[in-house]
Amino acid sequence: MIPIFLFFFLMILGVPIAFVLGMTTVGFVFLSENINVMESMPSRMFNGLQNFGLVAIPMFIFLGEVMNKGGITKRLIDFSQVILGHLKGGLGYVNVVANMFLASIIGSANAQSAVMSKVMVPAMEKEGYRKDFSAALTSASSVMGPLIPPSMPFIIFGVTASTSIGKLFLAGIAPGILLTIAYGVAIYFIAKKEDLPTSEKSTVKEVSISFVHVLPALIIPLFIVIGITTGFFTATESGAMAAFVAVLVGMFIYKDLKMKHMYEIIYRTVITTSTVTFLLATSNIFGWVLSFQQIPQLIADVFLSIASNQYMFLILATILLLIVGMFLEGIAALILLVPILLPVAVQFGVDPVHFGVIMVLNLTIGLLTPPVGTVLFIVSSITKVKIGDLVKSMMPFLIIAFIVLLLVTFIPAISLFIPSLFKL
Amino acid sequence: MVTQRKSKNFFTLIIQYIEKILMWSGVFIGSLLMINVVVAVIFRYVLKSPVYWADELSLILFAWLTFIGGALALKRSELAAVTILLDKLPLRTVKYIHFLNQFLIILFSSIMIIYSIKWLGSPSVQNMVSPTLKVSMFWIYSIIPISFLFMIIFSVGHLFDKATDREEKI
Repeated sequence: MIPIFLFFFLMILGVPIAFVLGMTTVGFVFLSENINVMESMPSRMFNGLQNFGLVAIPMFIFLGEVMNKGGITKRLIDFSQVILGHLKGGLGYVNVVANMFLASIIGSANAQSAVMSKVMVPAMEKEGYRKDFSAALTSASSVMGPLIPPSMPFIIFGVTASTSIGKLFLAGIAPGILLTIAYGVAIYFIAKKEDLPTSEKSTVKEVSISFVHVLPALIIPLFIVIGITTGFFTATESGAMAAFVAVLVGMFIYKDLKMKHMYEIIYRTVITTSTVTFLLATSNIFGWVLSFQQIPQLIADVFLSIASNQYMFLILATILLLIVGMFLEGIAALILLVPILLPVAVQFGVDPVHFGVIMVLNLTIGLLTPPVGTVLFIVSSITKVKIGDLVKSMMPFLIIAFIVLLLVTFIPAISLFIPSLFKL
Repeated sequence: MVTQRKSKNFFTLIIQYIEKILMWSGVFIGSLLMINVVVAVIFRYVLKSPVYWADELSLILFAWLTFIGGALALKRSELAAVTILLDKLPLRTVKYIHFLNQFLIILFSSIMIIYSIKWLGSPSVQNMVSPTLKVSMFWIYSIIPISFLFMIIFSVGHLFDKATDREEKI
């Protein structure tokens, strides 16, 4: 009981979660008179990081930073604008589709919503869209970030669950596209009902120019997908190569990326990476408490006693994840819950890759739900739309995301069909 | 009073220098990691002669990046935390809770330093060299006590800032 109490006590005190895990472990070790175990803690921390799959995290974060500074993001948005802007509610579609493009290079909803709310929301406001609607759509569309490869949560899930990161990446594609289409349909109806503005139609010449401009940027996701589907590259290697190509494109083709940007880019990469990986390091010593106390087994027993079949389990797990997602940041929740929930899921016969998609989609939606939702905080602080208004305008999109979540949860084929096409 | 102010500035200045040094080390290690992975891929797939020690170097750099970055993220209060309660409490109470938090971080870091030094001194680490680079594991693992020492310094700095109310936010 004491470790559980200590864990929640430190958590609500606002101690960084990475330290909560470490302190709970140390407290527990001292109280349980297993002090010898302490000597293995530093090595546990270090060795928890010795997995080549995790090296993909800094690669993809670096790639995202390079994209923004290198003018790649801008070209992707421009391209979506010339092909979709002339529709009724055009910038709404542009927002969703540009988010989908971005998601194929950036692997985090937080990073994506930060970029998009700086660019898309002012653009939409200028054309006469309501600001809260624009901000809400931008937040909701950022859910695509971790679904469409590359994806930081999938890397973490893959490593902690010893599941193929490549398979997880592929499994996220169809749910991501499903979400894009569902949002598109919603915008179609909202545009009709609220008489949303239309941008000017682009000429064929403008479309072709924009297409030529965007081509080099599209090489990057192609690199990632081909690298992974052919099994030629590991996720880490394809991340590194994509980053390398992005630097070349940004410096020599678009010429927006300068050498002087590199310090800032790498510095941001280091900080963003370690907020995730330092947490992984301390979660590794916390893992000792979990297994010593047999907590996964206890939770499995609870699930087994309430749920009689796979569907019941999935419903319970979904509810649990949605609640946890309301209070905990997504990556932290993932790191904590994978070792606890995955063994139970496997006992109920759920495919680990499918369960990975369920967890990631679920916890990413959690980034949009109050009281704690990092995407909400980011978008609200950039656009100055109050969190309350943001959530209210986001309701239709949240409901859609939730329906997609249910579809993905109960129809495994949505996630598992694409990976089954490739030998990985 | 004058001496106190002077010592405060001196201390803050030192912390700033340490932060700068860590920032540069982090960027250096980060750059090395990126270059190493890219070069390794080129050697493996294009030149068909894999660099046998590249993966090990990547993993070491990655761990170093994590611990140095962790200290920097702590300094900048960028580590994820649950702040839902703190947002609702009066500022005065929050200030005391922050004191407690920094104190706990210092305590935890000190415990980690003690046990990692014990571990580094053990023959199993002293006599072990890394498989391909043949570097003593002592040097590779030494980043753990080093980074926790920096975390202590930064937390003391936070305590100091709060005690003198130099930092209103957080």
